[in-house]
Formats: sequence, C-alpha cells, structure tokens
Amino acid sequence: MSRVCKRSGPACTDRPLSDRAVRAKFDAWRHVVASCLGPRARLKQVRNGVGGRVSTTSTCSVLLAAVPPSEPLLKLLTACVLQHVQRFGDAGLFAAVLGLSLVDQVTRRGSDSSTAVRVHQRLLELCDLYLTSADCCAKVEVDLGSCRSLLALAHSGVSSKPACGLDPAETQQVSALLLKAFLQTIPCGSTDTVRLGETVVVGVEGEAVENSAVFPGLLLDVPEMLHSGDLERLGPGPYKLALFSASLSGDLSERGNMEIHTGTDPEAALLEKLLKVGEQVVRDCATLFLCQKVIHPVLQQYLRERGVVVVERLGIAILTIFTISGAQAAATSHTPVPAEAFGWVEALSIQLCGTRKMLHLQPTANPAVCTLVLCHRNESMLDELKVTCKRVQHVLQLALKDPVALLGGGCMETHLSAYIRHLSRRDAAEMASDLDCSPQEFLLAADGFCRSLEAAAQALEHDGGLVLMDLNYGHCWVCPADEELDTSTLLSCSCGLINSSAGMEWTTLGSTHPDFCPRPPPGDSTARACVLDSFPAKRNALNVAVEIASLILDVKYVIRDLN
Amino acid sequence: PVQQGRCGVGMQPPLLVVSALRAAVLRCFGPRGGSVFFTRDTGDVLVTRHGQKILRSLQLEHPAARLIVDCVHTHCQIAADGSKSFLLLLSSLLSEMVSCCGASWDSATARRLAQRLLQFCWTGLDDVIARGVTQRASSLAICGYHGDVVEGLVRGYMAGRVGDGPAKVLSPLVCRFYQKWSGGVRGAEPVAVIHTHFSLLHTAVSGLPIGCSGVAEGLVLERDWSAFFEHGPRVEVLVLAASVCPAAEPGRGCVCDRCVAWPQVCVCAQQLGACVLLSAAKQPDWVLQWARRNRVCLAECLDPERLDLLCLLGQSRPTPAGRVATATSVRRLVLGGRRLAAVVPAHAPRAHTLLLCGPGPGPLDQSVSACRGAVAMLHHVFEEDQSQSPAADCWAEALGSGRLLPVGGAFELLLHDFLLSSDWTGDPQVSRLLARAVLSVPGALHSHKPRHFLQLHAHFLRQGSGGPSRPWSGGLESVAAKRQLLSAVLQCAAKLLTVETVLRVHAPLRTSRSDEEED
Repeated sequence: MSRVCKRSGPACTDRPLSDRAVRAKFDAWRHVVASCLGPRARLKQVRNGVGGRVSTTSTCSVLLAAVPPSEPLLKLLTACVLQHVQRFGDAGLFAAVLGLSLVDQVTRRGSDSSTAVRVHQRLLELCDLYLTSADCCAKVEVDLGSCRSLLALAHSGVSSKPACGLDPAETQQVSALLLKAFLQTIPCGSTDTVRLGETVVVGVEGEAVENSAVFPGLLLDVPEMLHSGDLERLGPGPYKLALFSASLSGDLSERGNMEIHTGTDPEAALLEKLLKVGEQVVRDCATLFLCQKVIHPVLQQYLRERGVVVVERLGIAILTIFTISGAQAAATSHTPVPAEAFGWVEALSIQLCGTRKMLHLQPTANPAVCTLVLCHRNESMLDELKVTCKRVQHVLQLALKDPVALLGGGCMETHLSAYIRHLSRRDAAEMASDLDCSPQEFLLAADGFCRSLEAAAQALEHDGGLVLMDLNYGHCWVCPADEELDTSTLLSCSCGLINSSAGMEWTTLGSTHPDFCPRPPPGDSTARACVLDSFPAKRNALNVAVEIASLILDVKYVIRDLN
Repeated sequence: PVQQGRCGVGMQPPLLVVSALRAAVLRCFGPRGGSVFFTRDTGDVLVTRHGQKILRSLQLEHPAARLIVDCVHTHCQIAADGSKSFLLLLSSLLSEMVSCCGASWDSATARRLAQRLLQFCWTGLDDVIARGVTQRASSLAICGYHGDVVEGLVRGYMAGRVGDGPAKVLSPLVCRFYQKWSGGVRGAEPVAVIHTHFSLLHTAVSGLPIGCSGVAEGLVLERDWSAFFEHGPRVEVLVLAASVCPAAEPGRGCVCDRCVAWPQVCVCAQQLGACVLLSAAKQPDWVLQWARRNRVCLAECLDPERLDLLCLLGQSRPTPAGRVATATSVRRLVLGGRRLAAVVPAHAPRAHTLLLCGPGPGPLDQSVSACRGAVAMLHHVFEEDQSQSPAADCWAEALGSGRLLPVGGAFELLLHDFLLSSDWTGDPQVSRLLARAVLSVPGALHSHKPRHFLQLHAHFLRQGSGGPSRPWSGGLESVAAKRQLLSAVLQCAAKLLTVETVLRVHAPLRTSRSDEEED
C-alpha cells in the first residue's frame, strides 16, 4: 500500500481503419497470409531471436499460432481463423485472405462501411444459397463408391503444402497412404450410429518418404528388455491381455490415507500386493501385461520370467488399446482383475520402421484403428507433413458426412465471383432498395466483394504468371510467366474440369469484362476435376471471413487500456 | 469578464464532458452505427455497442463524467436499455440551455432551471406522455406494425446492439427461445426465469458462423459425458455434490466429510433405478469403469450452479447419496466438433438452452451480451405492462393502446409536436427546451440521410389529417422505457446544474454507493 500508481487513461483511436499505420499493418499481414496460399506458396520460417526451434511452414494453423500480430484488430481476425481451423481443419488461409481483402476493398474505396457490411451480408446469403443448391456448378459429388475423388481431395490437401518437401511421386504415395489409413478407420458392418476409428500417426525422422506405411492396429515403442525371440516363444495367437490404468509402481506417495500397523514394512506389503496381482494375471494365462503408468521392476521381472510381455508407461495410447483389444483397464491393484476385463489381440510382432523398433499389436476383430508411420528426411518437414496429414484426415472425415467437394485451384472463387457479379448487376435496383441504399452504392460494394473473391484466387499464383478467367464457365486459368500470353497454349483450367476449346474467351482476372452468367460445365467432364477442396470447410470459411470482415469494418472506435 | 468566468465554472465543464461522451457513443448509435473495440495489453478484447460498457471502459476521472456514468448505470439497471440515447438527450438538453440563456447564465439561474426541470419531471412528464404520446399514438393508429410483438421488441433492441447480420440471426433466435419457455402463454414468469438464470441457460460455441446458433431442448451441461448410453424415455438422474470414496465396510463412514460414501450411491442407484450420474466433482477412475460396465451415463466436473438449476427445475428429492431428479431424456449434442451433455427435466418440459455460435471470442461475447440485454429488456417491458394492465393478456391491446411504439423516432416526434402545440399548457421554457432536445435522437438515427428525417417529420405532421401510415418494419420499443429514460435525463441534468463547486479530498469517501460498487 505504500505505492499508489495512478491509473492512466485509455488511448483512443477514432476510425482505426482510416489510420495509415493500421492500414499498413493490414496490408503487410495480408501479404504474409496470401503468399502462403497454394502449392507454389512462399514458405515462412518462424524463429525466435533468443533461440529455440525454427519451423518452416506455409500452414495456417502453425503460422498464425506462432506469429501473433501486434494490431489488436488483426489479433481478432487471427483468433477467429484459428478457431475455424480447429473445427474444420482446412481453408484457414482462404478465410484470412478473403477477410483481409474485403476490409481492404472497402477502406481503399473509402465507401460507407455500414452499407458495405449490409451488402456483404446479403451477397453471402446468395453465395450460401447457390453453394447449397442442387444446380451449383462449383461443386462436384464425391463418389464414395470409388477412390477417385477421395484421392483427389487427399492429393489436393497434400500438394497444397510445399513445406512438406515432397516430389510428385512422393505426394502421390502419401495421399494414397492417407486414403488407405482413412478407409481403415471406417468400421465394417452397419450399425445405427457409425463412429469413425482413429489413425495414430508415428513420425520417423531421417528416413526416405517411400518407407512410410500403414499398419492395422497399433504400434508401440518396444520395451528395452523385449527381444524378438521372446515373441517367437509365445506361439500362435490370439493372446490374452491385461490392462492397468492405475500405477503399479508401489510408491507410497501415490496413495491416499491408509492405516499402517506398527511393525510392518509398508513398502514390502505393497510389493506383496503387486506380486499377488501378477500371480493372478499369470494364473489367468495372460500373455500381455500393459500399464498406463509405471510398473515396479520386481513385478516386471516376475512377469517376464513367466513369459509375459510387459509394457509400461503407455500414456494416452491406453485409449487406443481399449478399442483394439476390448479390454477394460483395472483402476486399482487391490481387487483381482475380473475375467471380462481381459482383452485380446490377434498377433504380436516387431516392426522395423527405419531406426525405430516398434511392437505391433494386431486386433482380433475390425476395430477401425490403424497406425500411419510417416518417414521424412528432416524434422521440420516431418512436422509439416504430420500437420498436413491431420488436416487431410479431417477433410476426408467431413467428406464422408457430406459427400460433396468444391472445385479447387481458384476455380470455385472465380466461378462464384462471376455468378455473384452477374446476379448483382441483374437485380441491383431491387436489392439496393431492399438494403436501403442507392444502386450505385450497392454495385460498388458488390464489386468489392467479387474482387475479394478473385483476390483469393489470384493469391494462388506467386510466380508472376497471369491469372485469367474464361467468359463461358467462369473458371480460373493460369498462364505461366515465362511464356507469351497466348490463349491457344492453355490446355485446361486450374481445377482440371474444363478443357480449352475453340471459341472460348478469356479475360485477365480483376479487369472489367462484359457481363455473363457462368454456364454449367459440359456434361461428361465432372469426373475430370483433379483439384478438389473440402466443401464444409470452405463454406464455413466463407461465412467466417465475411463475418470477421463485417466486424472489423464495424469498429468505429478503438479504446486501448494502458494499465 | 467576471460573469464569463463564472459561466465557465458552472456550465461549460459539464457540457464539454457530455459532448465528449456523446461523441464516443454516437459512433455506435442506432442500426447504422458501428461498434467500439477495447483491447488490453494482456490480450483481452471486447467488441461492443453497449453504451454502458463503453462508458465504464473509458475509466473517466472527471467528477462530472463520473456523475453522469453513475446516472446512466442507475437508469440501465431499471430499463436495461437506452444508455446511448441518455447521453444524446442530456447533451442536447444542456447545449439548448446554454444557447437559450446565453450571457445571462449564473449559478442562481442554474438552480432555478434545475428546480423547474425536476418540477416538470415529477408533475408534468406523465401527463405529457399520456396525452401527447399514448393517446395520440392510439388515435392516429400509428402502428402499422404487423407481426409478433415480442419479435418487434427484440428486433428494435438488437438493431442498436449488434450489426445488421448478427441482428437478423439473433432476433428470431431470442424470440424462439422465449416462446419455447413460455409455451405460447403470455406472462412475466417465463421471462423472469430466463432473465435470472440467463448465464446458465446459454452455451457459447466459437469457431462456427453465427448462423449456426440455435435453441436446444433441455439444459445443456457444457461438458461431455464421460460415459454415455442411450436410455429409455424416463430416467432417474442422481446428482452428486462431491466425489465418492470407497468406504469398504458399510456403516464405518468416510474418512473425510466432503465425500459421498460409495455404498450409499450404489444402494441409491439400485433402489431408484438411477442410470444417470451427474457430478460436480471429478470422480475416481474406478467409478467411470463401474459406470461403463453397468451402462450408467456419467458426467463429471459439472458447474454446481447448473446442477442446482437442474435440481430446481426437475423438482429433485434429497437422498442420502445426493439429489435425485427425473428426466425425460438425456442426450449428447454435437456442435461443430464439440460434444455436450444435455438433460431434459421431466417437470420442466419447457426448459430450453440458447446455443450461441460465433467465429471467435470477441464476436461471441457481443452476441451473448446482446441476448442477455434483450432478455433483460423484455423482462422490464413485461413487468411494466403487467403493472399497468394486470388483466390484459393480449399484445395487440398493448399496441393499440399506444404503450408500444415503432422504433426510429416516433416517440420523440410525437412528444416534440405535443410540447410545442397549444394543447399543452405547462412551463413554456422547459417545454421548449425539452422539445428541441428530444429531436436529437431521431436526428442522430437518420444522420446518414437527413432527407429521410425531414420526410418522416413532415409525415407526422400530416398524419393528423389522416394520411396513410408509413409501414414500420424496424421493431418496437416501449413507451414506459422511454418515460423512464426522459425522467432519468431530467434528474441527471438537474443534478449537474445544482453542483456549484467540486472539492477534491484525499481521504477516501465511503458513504457513496457508487464508490463501494467500484471497489
């Protein structure tokens, strides 16, 4: 109480978006995010000046979590995008780029932000309506009966992250593995509620990518004392398995209140109890003895002498063992393990994954659990690959729920932009009176919305190539930088759905062009799309981006507490 | 020069302060306004349009400013709405006074004026509103409003509290929430229950667009089941207040007092057939295993207050192990990857929970506080309405009698016209001051299009001769709340005028209520 600090008043900024410094921060951040988009993205190296890990990435969840922007409004945007990625796993960068472009378009024109927000909301409703309607041409059905479109989804997911450092063959292999792993997590047999299993990812550093593989069941680190000879001696499976979630270390400190009679050694008494548990397990012919926590060395020795395979310190892997073996974990060492608590595994073997020796538990039934062993040359690339694989698994799961995918490669954005532009021009007067603004204001705001969508498509190209849009289907085409602009050299659009044909016209993206309503693609081509994006993720990202942009544009006053 | 100096002491500082405050809140006034963004270096953010919150976060030092903030706070506690209009009215009232009195201003004039303001507030205000607004509104049939009245009220409120997009989602949502609770019967009780327990009756989910928000049946417990099994239509729910301890011998009791003995739980569960265990504390692993083996639903680490509410609504009965309530269903809600436990108590089939989604914590807080405010506003309107006409149970009657008016300045324009008309024979100076001051509210609402304001005003003048009424779609507001606002403004203005000198002391003042609250 000796020192009383006078509270200082807050710092206020009126109309923050008209402030030049804030605008510069927005522009810089937009550049950072936009340059991470797509397969030709510029990588970002995130490092701390005082040392520690250095990560090379172009993934939204890694980058945004590691680099907090200083501007509070950008912090808000980043937090929202991260929340989205957590829920949907994909399209985070798209949400960030679109949100920032929308803000940029409105502030650059200096138009009334409240009108712009109303128009954006209205156009978002139109987008949502179009994307969910049956005759939307920006989406394709995912045929769950064949691997083609699922593989395309996985391939687009893996290839859009260049920081994984994969060549085309490796990309193909990893996507195939991911799909294989995903298919193994789908339980067989139809029940009312289908619960997807899980894929456990194990990373092995310093190995070639082609050594990556998928195993049914679970891989655990081999305990030091176990040799392959021990497993051969076990004979053929299936094997009985006892599982403990309580600590079997025999430590007194881990126990609560207990009464001790004088003259007894508590530690010896505890050990005796543990050995009794071991005795019972051996009597019940269990071959595997697993514990989430630590097992007392004497008990381990006792069990090993009787031919039981002992694995301790399972940690979180215990949850997976529940599913693959059907065992119930014993939470106490006081009562004997009941007969129904034992689980079963089909086979035990030792797998060599590069330098790592792993114990492979194969399930008896089909519990929809598999282990994906990912190998890569160095740690940074392996980390990125792991994150990418998680993303792709998430995307595939979402596709199972809602078997639709959006066209990737920027085609969905250009197509949607062309459609919205056409609609807003057609119904400008009507919509403007609905929104209580003049048709000019409406068209201006709608143009900003469409340009923002186009900016998201344009951000996919980083090598100076020319991004074009055709005036028939509204798809996105890229003309490489080192070639002269000659539309006859264009073969197919970015997503691969449309092939170039005679009579097609193109315009550079972002330039004014005659009004047209994008046509549905020719009937036979829907199977051709080879770059696909997750539909639920991208739709949510679109919504989130417009909502955040509205929120940021809505802010008229910033009050910063300096205490 | 002496007189000018005096004038500076008495009137100018409050006017300057009010003008500064007005400038801060004017940015977020009305449906066209924006929001204010607060940040701290700790990373906390707050996005709001709530006038009271803005005033509080400004951490004002000036004594006049603090007086005003206190007045706004008191008003908002009663009416739950109108903090921005308060500042707008106060500011224009004070500036009208200054321009009206001009050079002849001194503390004696101020005192006299304050006295007359208070006099008007206590004796004339009710009369003016009854004759000038309520009667005229009903006789002119000003409400071309068609639709649900509750929805109109909520929409009118939301337009000033959240942006256009969120308002479109939240207004129908709050109405649906209210209708679920009321079951179609009009009355103040359901909204009183929602208002009191609002913090327990909503669940916020971030990462999803606001459009995913909804209303869920039953009480949502904000955590997932540790063990979940489908059960039949009627289940007994055992609510445990503490973790269980394994008392090996029955009758020996537990080591500590704050535990529930396991045998008691087992006996209780068996006798009553309870197959759902809800616990406020974390239970040991073996309880979870027991639950899995016996197909018993178990949820742990639940908010004790939510459990209390569940017991209250479910009319629970006490047992040695804990309270037991009956539920019609136990469910698991899945919301954007998050799983939540939900229980529908058998004795409260109307219990529902508001599920609010938002892309991130900032916008989500804004939605939550707007919904909370809307419920508080409804509560206030319902109470007022009941006290005025206890027998009435038809909203159309409230509309027809002019107790509710469309938003957008109808109240202020009616009041303005009446105060200046020959029908009113009150204090002419105060009437003139007030008549001019109230115009500031519709003026600010239509500031983006001044022509609209003029058209609106002309339309009101014309309506006396029976012109067609303009279709109102924006929403409704309650005249009682507006009356409360005017009287609060008049009293605050009188307070500001009567203070002559501010004394700065260093010893803490412990007598004032506001000081205690700030501590």
